[in-house]
Amino acid sequence: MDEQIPQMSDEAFGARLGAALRAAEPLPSGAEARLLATLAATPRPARLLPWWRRSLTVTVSPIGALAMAAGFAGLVVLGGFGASRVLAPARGVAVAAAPDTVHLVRFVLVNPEATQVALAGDFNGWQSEALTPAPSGGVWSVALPLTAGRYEYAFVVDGERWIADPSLPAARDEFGGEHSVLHVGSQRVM
Amino acid sequence: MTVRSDGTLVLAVLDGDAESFGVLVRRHQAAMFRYAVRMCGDRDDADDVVQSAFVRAYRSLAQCRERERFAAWVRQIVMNECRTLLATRGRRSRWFVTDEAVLAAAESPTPTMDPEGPELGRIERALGTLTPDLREAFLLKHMEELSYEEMAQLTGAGVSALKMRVKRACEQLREQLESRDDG
Repeated sequence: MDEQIPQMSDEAFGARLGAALRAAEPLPSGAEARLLATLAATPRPARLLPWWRRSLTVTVSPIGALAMAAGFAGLVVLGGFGASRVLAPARGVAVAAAPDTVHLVRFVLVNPEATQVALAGDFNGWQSEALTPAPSGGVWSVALPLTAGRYEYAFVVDGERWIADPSLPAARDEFGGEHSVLHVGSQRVM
Repeated sequence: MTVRSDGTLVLAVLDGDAESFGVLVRRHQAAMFRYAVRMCGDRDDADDVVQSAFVRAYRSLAQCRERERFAAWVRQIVMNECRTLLATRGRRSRWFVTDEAVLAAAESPTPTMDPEGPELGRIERALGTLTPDLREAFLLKHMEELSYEEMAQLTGAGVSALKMRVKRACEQLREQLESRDDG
């Protein structure tokens, strides 16, 4: 067989080696029991509580109050479903950011086909936050008070499809998902 | 008895039934271990990788977005753990013949060459000469039989880059296996 290696296509060669590599690899003795014992001593995972049901302390400074009084001086991101289209550039909060300043950031997704859209990010423990549909046009939005900082989030369409915001830098999380990175209280969001 | 899907089991764990995670472990641990052995070239390291990956998966289960694709999600974690291990290991090679393989060869009255192709040990040693990127791409394509699109989703690399990695991996493996024949 070895004389035939140079004559095989890459596909056939790879398939031949792949078949050999798929041979079962027995687990080390006691590996399963050890893992289950470790898991038993690990805090149990649970569905995260919606962020509005957790205690959330927000301190509004005078600058923050001014920012809120100025309206939604926050993020406006418009994107479509699939072939997304940015209708207006994302813009960051241009208010000088004190650490306790609260910015009201509006997240917007245009998706006429969706029946339900939610927002999940590290600001709400990746627990989906439902967006409110506009009366027409498939515009979904929600406004959240956020302090200055870096946030990661994604839209969740119809409860199962996660969409990174097309107008912001994307990042991959350690589990392979893609989401958007938002800097609030700085000029970095463009 | 009804076999519960991965997604159903994940939901059960999140709802407080920790035992259901044991079912997921028993269902996927062996496949993850096989990948880690081929990737790391060492059973002890592979065991550590898989143990760590499942613990991380358990702790972060609420972040498993597509619950029915739990296996792919854990595979992603295993891949990351392998990369971390290989990066910290550096160039210190751990690709050696296992004791079991040495014993099997020593006890065998005839060479263990498989008439259908190179034996597993030779292929593994050749794999060990590849860079981690090439080895990962080759294993995902030819051992795990994933499509390039699935590989792109898992690795974050583009399809064309992955095709190039697999091609280079094949070229280098041919070279390794042929040169070993010559020797």
